[in-house]
Amino acid sequence: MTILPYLVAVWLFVVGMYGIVTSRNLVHQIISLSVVQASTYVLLLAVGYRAGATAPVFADISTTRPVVDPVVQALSLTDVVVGATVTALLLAVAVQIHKRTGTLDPEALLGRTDS
Amino acid sequence: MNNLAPLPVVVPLAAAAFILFMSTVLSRRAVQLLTASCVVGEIGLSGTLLYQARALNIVYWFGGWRPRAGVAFGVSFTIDQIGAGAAVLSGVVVGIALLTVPRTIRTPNGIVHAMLLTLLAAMAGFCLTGDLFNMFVFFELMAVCAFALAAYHNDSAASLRSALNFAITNSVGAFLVLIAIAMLYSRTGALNLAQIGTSLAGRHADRLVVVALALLLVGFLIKAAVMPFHFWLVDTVSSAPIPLVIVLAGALDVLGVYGVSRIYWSVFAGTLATDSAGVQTLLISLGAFSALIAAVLGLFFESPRRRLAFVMVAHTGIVLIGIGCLSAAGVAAASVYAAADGMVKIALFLGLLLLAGANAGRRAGLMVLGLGGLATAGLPVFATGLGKATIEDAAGHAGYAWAAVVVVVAAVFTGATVFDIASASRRAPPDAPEHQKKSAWVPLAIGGTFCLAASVALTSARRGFASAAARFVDTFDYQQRVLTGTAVHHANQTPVLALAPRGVAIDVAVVLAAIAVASLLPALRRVQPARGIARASNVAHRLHAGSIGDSATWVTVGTATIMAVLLAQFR
Repeated sequence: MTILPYLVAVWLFVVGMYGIVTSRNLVHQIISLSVVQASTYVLLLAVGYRAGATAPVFADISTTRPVVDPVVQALSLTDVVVGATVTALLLAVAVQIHKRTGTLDPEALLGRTDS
Repeated sequence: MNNLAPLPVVVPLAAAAFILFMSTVLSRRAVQLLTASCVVGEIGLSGTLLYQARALNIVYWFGGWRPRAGVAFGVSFTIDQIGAGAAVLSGVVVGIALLTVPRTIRTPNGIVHAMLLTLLAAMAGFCLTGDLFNMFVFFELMAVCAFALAAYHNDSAASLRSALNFAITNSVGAFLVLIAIAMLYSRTGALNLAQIGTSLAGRHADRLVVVALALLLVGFLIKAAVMPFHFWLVDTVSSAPIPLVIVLAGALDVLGVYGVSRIYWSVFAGTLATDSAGVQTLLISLGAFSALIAAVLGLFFESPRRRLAFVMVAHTGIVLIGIGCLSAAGVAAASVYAAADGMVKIALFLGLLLLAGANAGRRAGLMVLGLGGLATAGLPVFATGLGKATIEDAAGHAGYAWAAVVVVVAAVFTGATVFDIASASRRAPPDAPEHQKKSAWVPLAIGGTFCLAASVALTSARRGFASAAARFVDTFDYQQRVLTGTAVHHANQTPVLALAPRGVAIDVAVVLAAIAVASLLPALRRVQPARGIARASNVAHRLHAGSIGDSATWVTVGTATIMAVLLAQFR
């Protein structure tokens, strides 16, 4: 058992948040959000890891073999799907913004409250 | 096993898929009819569940995976009256939002209706589920639908930017929730709320549990748009399409507070029972901070929608104060207030919409806004008055008399804001009549009247709210019902929700004070403001310009602060 995966998760979260806060480009900002989300994948998989265990597919192994936790893998899979949806929609919005305004700089869009 | 339980989610979801699949074949009228009947169906189904859950919580195990020997393997919907009631409210709110679609969204087609139905399914699922990971999924589904709707008017840069702000801030909130889920799962090996709560109960709440609590609180409070996590809401309400704004105002933002209360009582109440004072102080302080600052800021802005957004933030703060008392009386008061206030806020937005229309509509709009102002300030006829007075009582009872004072002050300012919007628009020349038909205002006026009437009628359901709240806070009953199927005799006493003469007096005083403040405002505006106030107002305007980076910074700062406060409380 090592704490390395947990440190990686924290690092990804912090560095992603830093990207979102400081970004001057919408595409960069959206990818930063994906980096934040990557920390949840790492954390989930780390939580379910067992040393010396194999993949939880019992088709060709004995049921007594130790396996890693399949529940967190299902959770990560759901998480990946959610992440793909969010990223795709956000990138579509960024494309629209670029079409309308010719810029991807979030600061250049500020204060426009008219609809 | 109650087979109705999953239907409030399944029906709208299936209809949304059907509408998209058949979008080239179905006429616009058919789409509208199908959507409306599904929303009515959801209200009917949730209403039936509300009735069936009157004595015992309904537990539904998907695929029949019931718990063995008190250990839950499957995924459950655990439905109590508060959850079912919130699902009913969601249905009503989406129904009224549907009313405004043809009038506010250009070229309405199947996509908008499908998104509203999916949003409704997610809201209903969030209210009914008994599983923590399910809560995350529905939470994220709500956010995705809502921000797709926010970006629907893709010719407006402001609307698109606010959609991005909404999506990024809410997604970060969802990831915080997911991190907390991973932590709780690593400790307990469970995802079912009751199972997690049972595993944690009686043990000392160590750092891992406290950090998980902090992350869940922040995640759901971002959804609730409690300060300092409210920037996305102000931005979205200012520029998103009206149907989404109505859903946000009526139910979607307050569902975040529902999430907080649900996870507190099902998961954390057992392990924190002996020293819950830290959580109490934290929630009440956050609520009071939101209520006070947002109520004041509402007076300083010009755009009516932006001002109403601050009213929303302030009132969510008041609901959070009620929940933060961590008592049955507090939950009962907060849920009455949340339901009634949701209806009132929808009426306010419908009033604004009416003001933009023809002359007859303008008169109706002024009427709705005027009455809505009385309800916002909490005239005792409306259930908002009952809720506000009982929240004050609950706060006083819990030893937070200052929070009761904050509630009173906030209500004065939010009421004044609404009155001021009404009188300012009476003076302003009417906008050029839009392309709408002359009679287009009638359904909106009926909708506004219905909402106001509903917020009056809710006063008669006070007994129901009280007994539902007593069961909601009964952690042991909730857990036993899920894990063993047995019912435990209620240990908690049912609180009494009643308007004492003192409460009536305070409510009336608040309404009068709100009218007085509103009538002073135009004169105050003409006076050159002191330099300090002018500077503060400038800073407030700059902060709310809609910067995604700012919003994310406040999320980070807020998370760190809440985590530090909780860790210091539970060492």
